[in-house]
Amino acid sequence: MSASGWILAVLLLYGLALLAIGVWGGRESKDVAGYYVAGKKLPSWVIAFSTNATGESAWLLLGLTGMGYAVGFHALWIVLGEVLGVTLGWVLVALPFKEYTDRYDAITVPDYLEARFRDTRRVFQLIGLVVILTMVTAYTAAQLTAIGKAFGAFSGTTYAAGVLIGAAIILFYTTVGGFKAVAYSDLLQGVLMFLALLALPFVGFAAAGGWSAVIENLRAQDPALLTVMGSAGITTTGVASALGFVAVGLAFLGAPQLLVRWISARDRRQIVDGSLIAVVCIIVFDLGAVFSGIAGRALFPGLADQETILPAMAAGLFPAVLTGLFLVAVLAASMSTVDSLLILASSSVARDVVQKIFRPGLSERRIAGIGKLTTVVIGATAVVFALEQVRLIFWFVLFAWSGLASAFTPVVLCSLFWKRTTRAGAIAGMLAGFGTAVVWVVAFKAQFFDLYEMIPGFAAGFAATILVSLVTRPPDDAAEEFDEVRRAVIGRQRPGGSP
Amino acid sequence: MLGLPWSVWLLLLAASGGGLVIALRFHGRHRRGR
Repeated sequence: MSASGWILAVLLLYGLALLAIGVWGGRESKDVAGYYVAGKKLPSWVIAFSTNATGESAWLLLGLTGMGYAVGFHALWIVLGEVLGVTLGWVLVALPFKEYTDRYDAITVPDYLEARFRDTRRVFQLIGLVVILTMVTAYTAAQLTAIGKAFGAFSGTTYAAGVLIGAAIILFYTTVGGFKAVAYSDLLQGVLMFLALLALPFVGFAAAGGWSAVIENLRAQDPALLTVMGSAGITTTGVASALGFVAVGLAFLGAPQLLVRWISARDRRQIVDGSLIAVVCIIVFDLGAVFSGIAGRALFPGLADQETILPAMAAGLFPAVLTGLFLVAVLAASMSTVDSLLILASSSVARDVVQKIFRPGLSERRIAGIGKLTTVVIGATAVVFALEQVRLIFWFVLFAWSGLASAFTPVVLCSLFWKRTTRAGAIAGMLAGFGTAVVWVVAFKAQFFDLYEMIPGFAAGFAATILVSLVTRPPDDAAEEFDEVRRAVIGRQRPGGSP
Repeated sequence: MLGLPWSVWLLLLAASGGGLVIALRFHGRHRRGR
């Protein structure tokens, strides 16, 4: 079989597997909890891989390998930030969040915030809707762009055909199979990404003549590639760059598309076991990407676009069938993010707004139906953006990643760890976090050493939540509930603790 | 060491080892507690 024949065969197999997962998940997606959190029945492996595959998109395979290629070992700051973000998310946030959401029977993050702060006016749902719809559309359009380009680069189809085929497959399994299909397809996609990033650095270093040859090659190209502070050194620009890299990982503490994975866990044990799987997985993802880029710099110096290093290595170092698998891994990384974002946006419309605000009396089946329709509409909108504007790139991904996280994470962290947090404080925190991240990009970023918007977004989110909470009253019985949750989480980790 | 300054090795160790140690402790504590 010819090289393109092999690549198409691998692609076809992958597409069929996703369609099959969609049909299989369909049985679970008839009611709202089934469609949005798979009935809270997911095991540790699925939530662990799904969280990482959702958090990491094509940015990991194309953007982070490109970063290793462009800045060398300076890119390790991203690994530090992401590994710590994932670890602290699972170790600190997951169990109390799961405990609260089980008590409240919550299936979305605004559901949780509403119950936690005894909100009767549905303010969290409305803020959530605006943040989620804008960020998800931008994020999804950027990922569809990556899908279109990947199809074009590997299989020779046109960009538009790539976007349409990719979107059609995602929309099928997401609408038919719901969250169960999304999570299990994430597992498949996460495993593909894991294998690709495990193999690529070893093959890359071997092809470049081994460790010493790569290091000497990079030293000859630019000695700054071998330092932690990069070409800027220990200057304000260098430190801002390192801090921005670390801040990328902050979103793993509480972006809504990740929090919902913990809600969907079968029980606490899945979270305890999942923590270890997730941390090992993210270490392999990130180190694999950075070291692949570093080996790639020795193998293919002078690329016009650093983000084409992974396709260049996949095509240059592997036989056609494996090149096809790398294409599938890039598609998998994008698709596993897009499906989760679409179902998040759908939950924001159908569950948070239609069911909670406008039509509480509608049957579960009808709401799930509206959710499916919403998934298609948002997906189609993102397709239009992706077809109109092929220059959407990872800048959008990092922006949307920080916009979603700045709105939700500081507030969720305060709500879980500070009993004085109030409803007004949480509302102020969401608005300030999101608003600051957006305004920073538009008005200030260029003048402040290109500092990544996640940092001012988080700082403003925390500051507003804390300051406004200090001058308002928390819900009457929230402190008692807070202590109960704390006891439930801590009590069970000691022998003889409460069951 | 191996052609790289110690600061790179330190960052690499913190990046990979730090998270792993914290996760192992968390996992062990909760597994023992049941």
